[in-house]
Amino acid sequence: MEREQIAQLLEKYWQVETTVEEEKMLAEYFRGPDVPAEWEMYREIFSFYEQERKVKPGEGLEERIMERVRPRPKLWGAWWSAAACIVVALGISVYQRDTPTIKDTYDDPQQALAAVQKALLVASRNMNKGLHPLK
Amino acid sequence: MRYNKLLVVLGLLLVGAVSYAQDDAIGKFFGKYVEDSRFSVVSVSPKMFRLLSKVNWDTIPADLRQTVSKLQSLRIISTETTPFVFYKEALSKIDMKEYEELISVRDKNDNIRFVVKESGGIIHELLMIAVDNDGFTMMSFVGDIDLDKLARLSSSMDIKGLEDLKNAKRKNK
Repeated sequence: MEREQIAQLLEKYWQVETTVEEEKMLAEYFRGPDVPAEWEMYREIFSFYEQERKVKPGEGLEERIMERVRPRPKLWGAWWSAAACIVVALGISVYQRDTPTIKDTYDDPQQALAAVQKALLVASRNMNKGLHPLK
Repeated sequence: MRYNKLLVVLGLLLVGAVSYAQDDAIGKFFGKYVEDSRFSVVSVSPKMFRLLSKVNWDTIPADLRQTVSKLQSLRIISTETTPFVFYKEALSKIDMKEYEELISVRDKNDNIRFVVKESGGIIHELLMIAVDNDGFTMMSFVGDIDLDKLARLSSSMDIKGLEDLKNAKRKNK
């Protein structure tokens, strides 16, 4: 192969314009015996690429990766959420036992107070009917 | 699938909790008729009772103030429709193991029962069930209830109280 041609290819190579074929040609050339001294550095570069290309993945790499990323059944997650649900439900039931569900009739405390006052008065009157029937 | 089962379990527990909460006499009666248009309902929740402290109490007599401040909740349900039928139903719903008969009035106009829930000498609930030809009323006070004070309220309030009540109502309109 002509030195001229190689120089051109190198030019293209550093511009990242070489095709795969051309890169193979370069690699082959630099593996060859007649590399001029000034291109000695290129020999190292291309031989390094060659060596790297020979590195193969270890045995069963894919399996090992898949094993790592495989989704596991979240058994503990389910148990924890079950426990959490039970705690929440018990909490609610205890809370509801202490404070029976009462929906307010009035939003305004003033009105609520008037209603309480009226109710107490009615209750009080009726009690007095029982306590002092002869009055 | 797992979560569906969990939801079912949670749902059952909730149903249990809610039905437990409705287990007292007025609770049962309320639960049954609260949405019924024949009934009128008044409820004041413990939360609202806490808010009452923010109201202007200047016009409220001291006796009443003390009584109200010890209450936790009030529920009233009443109707003018077939009062005696509902009176009977209400009485049948009271578990006399839990309540103690306090006062029973029976004359030509009225039929009134007071029952109380008591523990350690403190009355925690006062339930009044009253009926006459005009209507049926069931009223439950929950809290720390002083019966003597309550009985005295009407005599001290009868005149002044009614006027205050009218004023309070007018203010709200």
